[in-house]
Amino acid sequence: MDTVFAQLASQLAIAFTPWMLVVCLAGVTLGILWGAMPGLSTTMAMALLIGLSTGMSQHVAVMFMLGVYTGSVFGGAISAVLINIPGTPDAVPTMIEGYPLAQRGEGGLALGTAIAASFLGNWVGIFLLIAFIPAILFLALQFRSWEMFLLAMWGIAICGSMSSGEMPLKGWISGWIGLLISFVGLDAIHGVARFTFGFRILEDHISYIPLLIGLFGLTEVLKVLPQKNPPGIPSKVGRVIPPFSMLWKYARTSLRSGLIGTIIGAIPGAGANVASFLSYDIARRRARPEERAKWGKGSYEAIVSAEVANNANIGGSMLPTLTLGIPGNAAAAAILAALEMKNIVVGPTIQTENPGIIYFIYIGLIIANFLMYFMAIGLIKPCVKLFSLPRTLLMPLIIPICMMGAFAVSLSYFDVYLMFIAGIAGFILHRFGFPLAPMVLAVILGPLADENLRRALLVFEDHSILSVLIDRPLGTVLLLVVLYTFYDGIFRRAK
Amino acid sequence: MTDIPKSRIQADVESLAAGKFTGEEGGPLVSPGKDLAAAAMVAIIGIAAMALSLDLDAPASLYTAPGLLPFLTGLSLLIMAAGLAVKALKRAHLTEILKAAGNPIGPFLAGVEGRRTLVLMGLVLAYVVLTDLINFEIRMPAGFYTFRFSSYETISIPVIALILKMFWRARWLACITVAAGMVIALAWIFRDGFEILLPGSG
Repeated sequence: MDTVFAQLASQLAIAFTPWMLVVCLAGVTLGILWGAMPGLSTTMAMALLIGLSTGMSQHVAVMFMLGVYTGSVFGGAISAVLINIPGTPDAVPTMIEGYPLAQRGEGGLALGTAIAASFLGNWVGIFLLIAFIPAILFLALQFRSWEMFLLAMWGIAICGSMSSGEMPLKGWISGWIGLLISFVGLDAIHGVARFTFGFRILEDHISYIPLLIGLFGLTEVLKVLPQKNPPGIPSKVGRVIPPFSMLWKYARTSLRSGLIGTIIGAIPGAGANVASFLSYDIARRRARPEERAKWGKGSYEAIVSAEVANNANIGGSMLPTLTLGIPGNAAAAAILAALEMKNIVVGPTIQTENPGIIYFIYIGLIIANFLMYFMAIGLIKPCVKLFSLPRTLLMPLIIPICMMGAFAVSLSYFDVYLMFIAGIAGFILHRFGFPLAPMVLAVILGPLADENLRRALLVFEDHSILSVLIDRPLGTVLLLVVLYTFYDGIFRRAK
Repeated sequence: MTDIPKSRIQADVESLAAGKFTGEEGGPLVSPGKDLAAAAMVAIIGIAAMALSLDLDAPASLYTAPGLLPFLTGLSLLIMAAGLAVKALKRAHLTEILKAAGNPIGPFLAGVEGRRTLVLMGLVLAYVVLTDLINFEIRMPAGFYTFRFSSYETISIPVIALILKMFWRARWLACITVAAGMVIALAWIFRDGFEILLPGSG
C-alpha cells in the first residue's frame, strides 16, 4: 500500500508541473479544434500526432496524447450543433438533436448541455477505468500462451464485427489481411524470413504506425478532398452555460449512457460511434412519451445520452489497451503506439515493468477532463470562425503532416512509402466497404497471436483436446467467446 | 453541405432512425458486383498466402512451423472470400452482376470526383518520391539562431501550393502563401520545437 501511495505521489508531482499542464492544455485545445472541423476525426488527430510525440519525453507524450483524445471527442459536437455537420462521426446523434435547437436560438444551451454531458461522461469512464483495472490485471496475469492467443484472436474478431455492422465478414477479412501483414519479417521463434520476397528491409517487420497514419490520415484526405464541399453556415451560438441541472434532470439517462460508453469502449473495435449510437437508441426507447416526442426535433435528453456515452468511451477504451495490450479502438491504438515508442510495455505486466505509469494516465485523464470543460466553453466562438474555412484549404495541409509523422517514427524513408501505400490501400478498401480499424488491430496483435499459438501447441503436443479443454478453463471460456463472436456475426447479425 | 462523405452521414442518420446497427465505421452497403470483385481479390490473397506459407522452412516440429498461422490465415481468408461471394450472389444474380459490371473502374473515372482523386494520388506519389530523391539542407547561422532550410520545404511548398490551387481554387499568390506559411511552421515545430529530423534533410 505504501508503494501505491509513493507511486501516486510521485506521478502527481510529475503531472502537476506547469509545463505538463501547458502540454495538456495544448493537447486539449488542439483536440477540440481538430474535432470541431468536419472531416478531421479523432483517430486522424491521434494518428498524425504520434510523429510529433516522438520528440517528447515519456510523460509529456502521454499527457499530450490524452489531452488530444479528450478534446477531440468533445470537439465533434460543436460543428454538429452549429452547422449541422458532425465534426466526428460519433457526433451524428448530437447533430440530429442539436441543430434543430440551434435553429430555434438555443444553440448555446445545446452546446452547454453537450459540454456538461461530456464532462460527466469522462468522469464515469475514468471512475470505471480505475475501478476495473486491478481486476482485469489480476485476470490477465493468469493467462498463458493458449489464452493469450485466443485473446488476440477474439480482439481481431470482435473488432471486425463491431467495425462493419451489417457485414461482419468484411471486418474479419480486413483483420485477417492485417494478420498477414503482421507476419512479414523474421519469425520470432526460428528466425525464418516470412513473406519478405528477398527484401532485407522487410525482415524488420512492418511497423503499424505508418499504417495507422496512412489508413487514418492519407485515406481521409483522399476521401474528403476531391469532394466539392461548400463551408457550413454557422447558427448563432448565444451564451454557453453548461447546465448541470440538465444532467440531474436526466440522471438515469446520464448514468446508463456512461455505463454503455465505458463498456463499449472496452470492447476492441467498438469506439465512440457505436457507444453514442447505442446509447442514443436505448435512451430513445426508454424515454418518457412526452420526451420521446421531442426526439429528432431537438431533445436535450438525447444530447446527454450521446455525449455522455462517447466521452465515457475514452476511459473504457484505455482498459483493454493498458491491461491486455489490445487497443479499445483505433484512437487507443495511437495511444498504444505513443506508449510503445516511449518504451512503455502495455499488457498484464504494465505495473511491474512501468511502475506508476497507470496512475499517471489516470491523473492525465482527470486533468484533461477539467481542461476540456473550460476550453470547450472558451473555444466555441473561435470554432465558429474556423467553420468558414473550406475543407479544400485544410485537407492539403494534412499531407505533409502524414509524411513527417511516418518518417519521424524510425527516421526511415521506407515508412513514408509504407504510409503512402497504406493510404491508397485504405481508400480502395473504403470504396469496397471494408473497415480499416480491424486491419490495424490485427497488425498489432498478429505477432502476439502467432508466437503464443505455436508455444501453446508445443505445450499441448502430448495432450488430448479434451484434457486441454478441461485443464484450461479460462482458455475454454475464451474459446467459446471467440466461437460465439463468429456465430453472432455469421448467423444472428445476418438476419 | 457534406464534409465527412455524405453517404456516411446519411447512412448514420437513417440507421439511427431505424434503430439499426451499422458498426463503428458504418457506411452504406456496396454493390454486389463490387463485393464479388472483392471476394475474388481476397481469394487470390488467401491462396497466395497458403502457397507462400507451404514454401517456408519448418526447422522443428509442425507445431512451431513459421508457416502454420500464415497458412491457417490464408485458408480462412479463402473461406471468407467464398462467404462474401455467396452473400453477393444472394443479393443479385450473377448474370445481372456481369451485365452491370462492364469496365470496373469506368464509373469511377467517369465522375469528376474519381478523376480528382486519381490526380491527387499522383501528386502525393510525386511528393513522396521527390522528397526521397532530393536531399539537402542549408544552414544560415544568424547570431543566436541558425536558420535551416531543407529539401523538405523546397519540395513541400510547391507541391502543397499546387494541390491547394487544384482543390481550393484560390489565386496562386494565396495558395503559395498558405503552403509556405504552413510548411515552414510545421518544419519549425518538428525540427526546432521537438528536434525531430525531417524527411529529405539528412
